[in-house]
Amino acid sequence: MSSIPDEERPDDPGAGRTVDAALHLLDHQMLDRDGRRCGNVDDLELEERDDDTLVVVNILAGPGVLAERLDHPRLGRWWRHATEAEDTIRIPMRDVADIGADINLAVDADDLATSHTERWARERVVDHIPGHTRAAERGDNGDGEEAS
Amino acid sequence: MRISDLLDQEVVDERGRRLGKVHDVRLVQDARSAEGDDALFRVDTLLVGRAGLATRLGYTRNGVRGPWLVKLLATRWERRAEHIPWTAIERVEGRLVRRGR
Repeated sequence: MSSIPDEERPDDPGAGRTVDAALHLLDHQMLDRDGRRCGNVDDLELEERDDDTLVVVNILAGPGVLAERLDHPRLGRWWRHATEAEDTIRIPMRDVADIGADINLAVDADDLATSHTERWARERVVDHIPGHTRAAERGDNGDGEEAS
Repeated sequence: MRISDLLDQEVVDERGRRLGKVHDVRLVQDARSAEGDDALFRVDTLLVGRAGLATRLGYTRNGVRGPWLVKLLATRWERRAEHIPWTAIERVEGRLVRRGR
């Protein structure tokens, strides 16, 4: 399913897989089903069930979410307004295919709004800088190597 | 509620004594249900106290390599961390209180 080496996977003692939220999830890169980057995990949404268990239902992403996590909600509101981004992007935990060095999702990046800020910066800022060229236009695959 | 609402929160015991801050939250994914659905991760344990920081460094996990001295120190330090089961935690007026012991 993914190319994450075994030693980088979280522990898997017995029946239940164990991960530490801050160590293994928060701020980790998310990759879509094709391995494309689609933002970072900025927070996790919890839901209390009838039996008092607290379960993780969604990954939360977006600059506003991160700003709130870092106790700067006003900055988050300003950023969302400036970039016309969605308030909070929710990715159901059921869409997580694997947790390792990166978080592999079983969805397509185009179906998520997590790349909004990158798209906004490219269309509103980078494209207007004289001399810019898109990677696709110059045959670059983004790693500094020319696509064959 | 968000996981960030738990991280860095102070945990106290029933007498109000401070046990330390939450440095990480251990999540457990239980076995699949009979229907074969993937079970969600549930909050299992709070890693509390300064020694909990050792866990956050990652050197105490199986398979993680690193300078042996750092790994040794982190492992010893981590043993002093408070691992408080979520079932022993009560939320009182926004505070995390460990019940009994």
